Amino acid sequence: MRIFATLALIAAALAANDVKPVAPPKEFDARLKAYLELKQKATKGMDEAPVKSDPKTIEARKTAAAQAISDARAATGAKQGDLFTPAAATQITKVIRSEMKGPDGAAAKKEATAGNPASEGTPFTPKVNMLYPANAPLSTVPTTLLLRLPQLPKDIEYRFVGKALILLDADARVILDILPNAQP
Amino acid sequence: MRTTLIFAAAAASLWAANPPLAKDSLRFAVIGDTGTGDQYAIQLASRVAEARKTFPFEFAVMLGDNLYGGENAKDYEKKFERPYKALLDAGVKFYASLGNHDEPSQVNYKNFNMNGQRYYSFKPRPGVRFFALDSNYMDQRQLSWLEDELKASGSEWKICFFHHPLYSSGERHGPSVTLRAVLEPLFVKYNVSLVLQGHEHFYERIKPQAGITYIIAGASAKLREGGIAQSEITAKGNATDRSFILMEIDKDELHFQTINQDGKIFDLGTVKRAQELRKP
Repeated sequence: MRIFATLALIAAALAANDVKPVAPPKEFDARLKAYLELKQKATKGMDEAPVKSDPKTIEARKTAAAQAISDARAATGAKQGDLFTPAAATQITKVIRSEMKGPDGAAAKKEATAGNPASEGTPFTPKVNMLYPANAPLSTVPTTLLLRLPQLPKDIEYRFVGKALILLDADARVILDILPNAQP
Repeated sequence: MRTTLIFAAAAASLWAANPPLAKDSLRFAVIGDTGTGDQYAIQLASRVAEARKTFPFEFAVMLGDNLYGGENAKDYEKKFERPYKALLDAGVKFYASLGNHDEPSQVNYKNFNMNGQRYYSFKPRPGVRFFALDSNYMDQRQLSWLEDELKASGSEWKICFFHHPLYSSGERHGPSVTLRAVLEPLFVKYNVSLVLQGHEHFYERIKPQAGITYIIAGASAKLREGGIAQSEITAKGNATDRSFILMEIDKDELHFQTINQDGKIFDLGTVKRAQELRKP
């Protein structure tokens, strides 16, 4: 019965149109934009995998893009905190913690453990610019939380690894940044 | 009153022996969490191919976790192309959705028919539209797309499929409550009749919720330790068999039968089209 009560609270919040993404600090958007430009430059000339590809084409394109992005970022000295700037980190951590301590917090916390490599499969320690391990699942980001976090460009996603929040280029599987202890 | 009716058939074997196979009906298969490539996945895939001899379905929908572990070219072959070779050779189309073990690059794989999109819809027959969602990442972009698609669809039958279950009695994962909070109001508003999901490695048909039939069919390769908790929402559950579903849409009714690795039917029934029931 508790789950239905929780759902009612979430639904009420949504119905009241309370769930809106927070506006991120301008610097966060600017850094994401800079990353997209770097990616575009690094993968220039690489063919997009056509929408009717065979597995070999998909693998070749994916591997080449990931390598090119990793190399380009390494050349610029990419490091933790480049995208999650202090202001963005503070804001995002606040949103996550308020969601997880709020009325739907228990459900959100439970969902964030689903697919989280710390609780399913082989745990790993995320590092900036590493490839997300092929054998690791992707965590759920609770929908009500996702709708409150700053919106990201297409193909860049938030994911949890343990209590850390990462920014992942889902297309190339490159970990772009890490926000440790984002979850309470 | 918006109610989807389930006729739990007492005479299961009778229906199995006499599936409707109605003229001009739409027939399809449902498989979920298939991507191990192990002996169990191969055995189940053989059953699906065998079933098509007596129940010639046009296509299959996949409920995510299509490829566990690595996703190199050899993995596609081992975990999908080889087990489902007979059906691929026969021209059966597969429509995939993404699970939490799947890389988004699968959207470009020709045999998954996703056309480069993580969420998409297709209309195999006039009046029937399927919506494949990416439940891994339900952001505002996808929600807006879904609402626009549902609103514009005009199809009498609307069927959604994706990975994470909105209702589940699973002891390990359980329901995706925050996902349900945003999706179910849309399903109700736009008369979705049926929702198919995976993630839990068992079969569970949920008693109609808000007039919608929800089925979890994530046991096409793995079985979940822990299984299904005793729950008042379960209409039929099975955590000990691997399984797949055959479905047939005939006018305002959708008939289904769920089959295990030994070819035995353990659940069957009929879902009435949601919109039809709302007519005076």
